[in-house]
Amino acid sequence: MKINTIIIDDESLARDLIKSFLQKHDEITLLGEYSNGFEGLKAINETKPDLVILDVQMPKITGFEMLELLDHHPIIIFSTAYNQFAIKAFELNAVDYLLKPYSAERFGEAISKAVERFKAKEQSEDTINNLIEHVDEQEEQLERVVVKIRSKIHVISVDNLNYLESQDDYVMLYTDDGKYLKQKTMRYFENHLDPKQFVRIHRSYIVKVSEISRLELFEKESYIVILHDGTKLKVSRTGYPKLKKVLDF
Amino acid sequence: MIHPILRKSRYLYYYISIWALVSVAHFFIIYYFYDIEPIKVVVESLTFNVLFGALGLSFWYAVKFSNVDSQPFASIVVTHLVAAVIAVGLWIYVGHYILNKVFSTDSDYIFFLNMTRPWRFVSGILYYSLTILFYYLTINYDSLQEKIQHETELKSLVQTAELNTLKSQLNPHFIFNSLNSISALTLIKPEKAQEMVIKLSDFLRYSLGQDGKQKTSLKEELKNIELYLDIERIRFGDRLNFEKEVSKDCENKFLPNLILQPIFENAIKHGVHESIEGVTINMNCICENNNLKIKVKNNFDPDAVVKKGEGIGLRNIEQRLLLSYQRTDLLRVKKSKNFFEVQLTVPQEED
Repeated sequence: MKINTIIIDDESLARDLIKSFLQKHDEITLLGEYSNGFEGLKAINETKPDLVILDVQMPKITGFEMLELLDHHPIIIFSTAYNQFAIKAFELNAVDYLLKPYSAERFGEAISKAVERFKAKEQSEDTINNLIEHVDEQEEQLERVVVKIRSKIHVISVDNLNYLESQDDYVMLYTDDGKYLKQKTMRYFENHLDPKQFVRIHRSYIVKVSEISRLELFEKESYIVILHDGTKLKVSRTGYPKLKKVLDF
Repeated sequence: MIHPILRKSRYLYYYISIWALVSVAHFFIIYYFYDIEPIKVVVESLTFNVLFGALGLSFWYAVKFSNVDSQPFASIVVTHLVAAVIAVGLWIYVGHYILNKVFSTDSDYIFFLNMTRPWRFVSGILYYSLTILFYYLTINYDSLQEKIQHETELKSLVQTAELNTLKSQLNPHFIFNSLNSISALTLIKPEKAQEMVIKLSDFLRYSLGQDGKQKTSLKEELKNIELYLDIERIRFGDRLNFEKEVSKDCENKFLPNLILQPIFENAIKHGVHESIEGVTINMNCICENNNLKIKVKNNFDPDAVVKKGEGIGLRNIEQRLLLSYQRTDLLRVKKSKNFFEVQLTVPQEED
């Protein structure tokens, strides 16, 4: 049995420690080590490892943001000094959550769990995807969104979003610099964007309140909002009272 | 409450002087309006006024036990009316008794004395009122002083508490990540591990041991910053560089303790943590116009999308400076495309 593994941590000493712990575990084959989420993401998608030992706080994108962009879902062991992400990590189906500093024994336990999970890997990846959606329900407010377009990763600050449009299973994010397709639901964004700034005005639209230039009567009892850049968006009958409340008119 | 006149000998002299003035006035009025020999007027004036002066000291107790705040107004009025009648009655009785003895052969004077009794009664009531008025005013003044003092004490207490909470709190992740580095070093480079344990201990000793005082010398602060950066450099290696230019004469200047650490922590958090390339922190200290001026500058990755929650450290510094120096212009932050600069001005006390 060989479990192909990569380490992603931005501190070289932290990686060295994991490598030295791994020497005792013959079942693990180390494919490589990476110092940030970008490189790690690329490596995971190219080498498709079975196990990833992952730090959370890293330059560019966090470990969690990186997971969102994966096409392939390896087994994850988190290794971090931050205890506040533990619940989120387990809900993402991480096999273990190691709090730095940890002992060789504790690390060994995590590896054993990973081995067990690897053996039972028949469990479909669908369950993992479902779990990712499930986590979204209770996550804190979004500050930024990561989007992968071909091999390029874009980190978009929520402040730069103008409006969002539903596109089947995806959401199109409109910013001043262009638009980005993100594999998430409208409900996810509705729940995780600041409700004082963003309003779901229609089944297909979430708009940033400060982008609204004016509200016009479109047909009888039907409104449209016109944004500063001229974009016109329909307001649904349920969206209108929400808009009215936020804009306070 | 101590007797307001007897609490200091100086106050007793003032009191005696006032009665001396009253005695002089008494003398001139009697001498001017009535045809009585000066020597007799002197004796009379002294008898009545010395008596009332001595008696007046005891009125304090009537005032002390009829507190305006805790007793109904009517009961206070009654207390004082009774006290005034007794005191003035006693005063006139004793005064008359003495003067009757001294001038027992002078029927003219005795006649004058009996004639003026009602007026003495009126003036006695007046003296009584003035004396207790004075006592009540002292009580008020005292409690006002006490309140003011209490308030200042409270204010300074609140200020110290505020300053203490604003003092940088050690970031637990920094400690745990450092411990993790030490854990790695014990396996990989044990001799380096010891060095790091000692540095971390020195840093913690300094950072945790600053409860009592608010200010420290730049030299001490710099030593602590170097320790902090040494520890972070073990973690981040080449990703963190530090340059400093500190002019020698600044080293003994004073600044609020632990005020630099959050600035460097910020530089590391938003510079080093968010960048793959190396980040250089540049520090520059000069003294001019009795001010210590510190500039801390770092480059950062312009592509990094800044996460919110930043600036709490800097706002705390601003608050601390405001509390310590009552000025809002001491902290300046400049942000350009890929540089972040913090300028700190610390006024020095005049020598």
